Amino acid sequence: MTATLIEPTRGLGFGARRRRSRSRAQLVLRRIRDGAIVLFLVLTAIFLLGRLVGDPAESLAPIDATQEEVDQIRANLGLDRPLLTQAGEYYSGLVRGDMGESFVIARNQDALPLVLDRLGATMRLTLAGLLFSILLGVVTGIVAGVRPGSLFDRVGNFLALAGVSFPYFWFGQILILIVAVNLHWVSVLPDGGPKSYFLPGVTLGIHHGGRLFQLVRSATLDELGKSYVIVAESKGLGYYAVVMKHILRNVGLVVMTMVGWEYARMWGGTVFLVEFTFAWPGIGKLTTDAADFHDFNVIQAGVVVAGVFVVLSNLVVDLLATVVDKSAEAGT
Amino acid sequence: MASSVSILDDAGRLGHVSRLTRVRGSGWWIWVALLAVIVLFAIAGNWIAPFEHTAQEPRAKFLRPLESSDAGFHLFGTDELGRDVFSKVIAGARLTVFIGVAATLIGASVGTALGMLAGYRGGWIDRIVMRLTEAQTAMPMFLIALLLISSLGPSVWNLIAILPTYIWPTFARLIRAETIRMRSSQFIEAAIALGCTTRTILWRHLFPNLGSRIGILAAISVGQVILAEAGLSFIGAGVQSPDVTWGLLISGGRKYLTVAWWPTVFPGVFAGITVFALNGLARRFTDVGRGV
Amino acid sequence: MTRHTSAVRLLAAVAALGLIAGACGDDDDASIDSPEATTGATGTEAPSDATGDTTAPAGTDATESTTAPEETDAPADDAAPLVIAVTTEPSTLDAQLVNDRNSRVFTANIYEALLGRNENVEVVPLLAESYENTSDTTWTFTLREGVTFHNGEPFNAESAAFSIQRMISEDFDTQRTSYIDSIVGATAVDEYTLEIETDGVLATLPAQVTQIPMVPVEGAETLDTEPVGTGPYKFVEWNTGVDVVATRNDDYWGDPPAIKDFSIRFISDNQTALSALQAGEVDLVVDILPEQKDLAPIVKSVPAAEFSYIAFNTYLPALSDPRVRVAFNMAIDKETLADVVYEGEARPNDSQNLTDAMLGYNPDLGPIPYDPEGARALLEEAGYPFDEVIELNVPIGRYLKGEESAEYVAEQLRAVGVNIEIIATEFNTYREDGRIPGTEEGAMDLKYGWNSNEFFDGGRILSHVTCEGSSSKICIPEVDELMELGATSLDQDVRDQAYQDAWALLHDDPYAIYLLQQNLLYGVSERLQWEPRQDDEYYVSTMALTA
Repeated sequence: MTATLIEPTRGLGFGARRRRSRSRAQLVLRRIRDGAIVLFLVLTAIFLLGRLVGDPAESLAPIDATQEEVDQIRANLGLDRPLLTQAGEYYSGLVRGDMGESFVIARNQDALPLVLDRLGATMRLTLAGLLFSILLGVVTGIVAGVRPGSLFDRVGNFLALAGVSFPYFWFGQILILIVAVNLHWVSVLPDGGPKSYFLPGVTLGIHHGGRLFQLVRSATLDELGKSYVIVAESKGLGYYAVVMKHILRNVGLVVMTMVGWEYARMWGGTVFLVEFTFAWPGIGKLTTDAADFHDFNVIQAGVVVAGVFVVLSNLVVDLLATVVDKSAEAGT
Repeated sequence: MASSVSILDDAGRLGHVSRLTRVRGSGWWIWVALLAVIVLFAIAGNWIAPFEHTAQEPRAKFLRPLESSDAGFHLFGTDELGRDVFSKVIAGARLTVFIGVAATLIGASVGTALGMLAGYRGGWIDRIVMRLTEAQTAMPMFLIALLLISSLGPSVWNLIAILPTYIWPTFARLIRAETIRMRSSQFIEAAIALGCTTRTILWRHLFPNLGSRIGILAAISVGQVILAEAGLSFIGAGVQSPDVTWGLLISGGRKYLTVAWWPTVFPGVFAGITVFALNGLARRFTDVGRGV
Repeated sequence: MTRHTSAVRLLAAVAALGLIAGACGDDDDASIDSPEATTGATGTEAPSDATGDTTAPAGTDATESTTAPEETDAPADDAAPLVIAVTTEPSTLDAQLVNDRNSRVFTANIYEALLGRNENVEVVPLLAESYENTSDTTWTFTLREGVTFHNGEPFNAESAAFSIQRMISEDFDTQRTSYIDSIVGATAVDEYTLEIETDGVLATLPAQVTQIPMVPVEGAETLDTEPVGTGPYKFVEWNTGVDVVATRNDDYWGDPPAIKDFSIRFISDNQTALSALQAGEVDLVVDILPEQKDLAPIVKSVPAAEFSYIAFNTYLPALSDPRVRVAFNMAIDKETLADVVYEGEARPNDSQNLTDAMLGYNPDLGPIPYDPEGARALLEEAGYPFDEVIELNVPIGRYLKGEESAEYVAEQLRAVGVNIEIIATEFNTYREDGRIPGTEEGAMDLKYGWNSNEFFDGGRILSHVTCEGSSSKICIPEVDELMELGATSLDQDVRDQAYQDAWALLHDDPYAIYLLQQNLLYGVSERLQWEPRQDDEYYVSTMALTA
């Protein structure tokens, strides 16, 4: 069951397991279809949660607002219409790129362009975070997996567990204190050039790199236990030759998948909290600012954009896995 | 055979933690001891804390750790109004642990029930449950929590309502996989042959056998919930003063970080150690349970 | 499992991803790097030559306009732009709409009003050359000629009338309502003559006019994002989330300012702002914490026209007895609040929202002395309901150490037996809710705030203490009469006496717990020459940079 590493956790391709003889094109289409369904579910959940759980008009209105004032706000938000009409507006707005106006934090400006303005900053930060996660987690994870029980492995395990256990935004604070305030050799301002990516990138790297270490290490261990490795060793190939030739290659797909998951997880939340910690002018900062003022449309636009990126990241990983790995479906 | 057991993340996805490690051998009692201390803080904090956590002594503000004021000895120093940081950390343990446990109970119940149902029944129920877990996993939960809190207003109960969404999909997936595996086992087949009802089979036969897996996952989940709560409280969308959690304490000390690190650092250390111990223990029991 | 060839491609893909990340890291430097290039890490040990400086700049010609630069040296145009750090991004750059400092820091350099204030905060002509009170309810202004807006539109009585009407229109909903609510209309008499109508005799009209920025008729709709004024600087660009940039207006009617370009940076975290100051990436940080004074290259401090208070809802039965409210005042150790919590960057105020330099200041009043035992006795004598929960509202992150002050006060009130609970809310919610008068449902029991006296005059806080005041939670008919007299008399001595008498009444029948007169505290770079003002305004045209 080792090849189901992806399967039980993903659930995608549930049907594919039963009908094995699918062409790759069919599989790709199926992945895309599944991704679209998930995206639709996510967007619908955002719509429903925003409207059914709380009342944006009530939270936006002052405490002493008269019923008329609240009704006015509700009308401005379009909340006075039947839910189905609103849903129609919502989806057609999504398609047209119109998600209403900001009320407070940027008066009379459209919400979605405000969010998209910040997309670049968030994107660059996620990529910096990914880079540091890979640097901190992947190579170390392979080395630890190749040499289980070594000092390197023990220390790595300990640090990785600490990395995933301690609040990463708290690490970020400590980093600001130690590195930026006392040492002055990195920029503390969010856009001070490449140097400014260091601290938030490392903060993301500590968390996601810790997780990658654990995942990559165990994937490597699994690979080492396989029969072909034993066969190869018995043929007299040197240990490192085995590692280099076979294990690294085979671990590659798994690692890529895991890196992809971690990237999706950044869009799921971690990057936004890091933005808040470092006052990084991305979507997370905008959305947390908007939350202070109950600026519903801006928060909703931020959530939608983040949701799209989570789904897209997952989809891209799935597609790559499908396209690249000929045996992805046959491994059961 | 499945060689891996989950370590779960706050998006609720399962990853891999390896089986064999002779390395992590004997240290498990340290985790237990640490957790016992935290639980003691949570339960009996009022008797342990050297000071009332709200008691001020302005003239003794920002005392460093191990310094003393007229009022007494401050193990972790004092904050901007001369309140004892150690007492604040102890006070924070109670609500932090309570939220962690309460949200985990809810998330575990929902996830386990759905997972057992999906695994046992299969078919369209299974497909729906699995789609739901995928959608849940693809939700940018941090921002959705922000959206909801902004509508509902921040409160402990709203947090306890939102945080289970971080963890239930993992329970659902793991329990589903285990149920499918066990369904084909002889004792379940025997039960079916004996004419037991589905409900009886699920609760009398399947559920008890899932206990250890649920327990391990729950330990990890409590840690995840604590981290998620800390994150939300940190940005102001979580617990509000006068309630205290470690996340809120980290956030509260933030603006004075350059002046005094201790009000921020100690709550973070406690949150980290708690989650670390929960994860460490879960891994330890995973190993033991697998007989490696 | 995986076949080898595919895995290699994948590793390549992962590596490529890393390369993208690296490349993206470089994207930004072209646009932003310059400030840090000019200054290395400046040490933190530089003595703060202006620490505790308590003087307002003295001896300046009162008729000098606010915008006249202090330095007339050849402007160092090639210097790195001036950077001012504020905590929050403005919601709009339409100066008529909002009044928070984070917007004003920028907009006060773009827009101008008919009248302004000089360094001694005296009212001086700006876009008006002169003005007179032509009848009880009419003021006539003669406007400056030859002034144009940044968009080329000429400034004249028509645009002035338009600006005033726009701002007082009910639909407009400006945050400055309370400054201008007695103005009912404005008309252009001829090209450069303007008449302003008030709803009664209004002694503070000139002060109110300073609160009305002039805007052009054309383009008024887009001022939110494209501000246009007549000021010494014109808008360049707004990089959302990062900064807003302005450059010198070369067609300015007054003296050209010394600094060519400046930007307002949004840095929400004060320690980050301070680090940036140390690294020379910003020149001015507004509102540093008193504890951080050692960390800034230069610290400047000015006792401001800012008075912290905790307003009572006197309509609440528990708080209706004046003895109870006096007792609350006695329960608070204001000295310790000023000396310890604020590290000396504040002092107990004299139980009035005025300093001795302002019209209406009553020299016989002082802080109500700290006496917890006396407070407890007085509360018992007044039959105070000790088990009733009183809520103290405080905004999050709005006032320097506001939440701490509230916690400090709450703890001291608890010490005399008052059952008090703190409600901390976001500023927007707080501001809306704080306006609810005591006669209505939802009014705050206790409200922590700072009263800024932009008028430098006893007439400023009418809305808090008169029966019909827009956010008033108290009603003392005699105070109303005196305040009315002060507001409607044009005889300054009569006004002075009226306000003094009103404050004497409010001392014994307090509308609030009188706390402190606050300092404004700044971290300043070594190259910036500037003196802080009492009125919390930031005119870049009065600043200069040394090489």
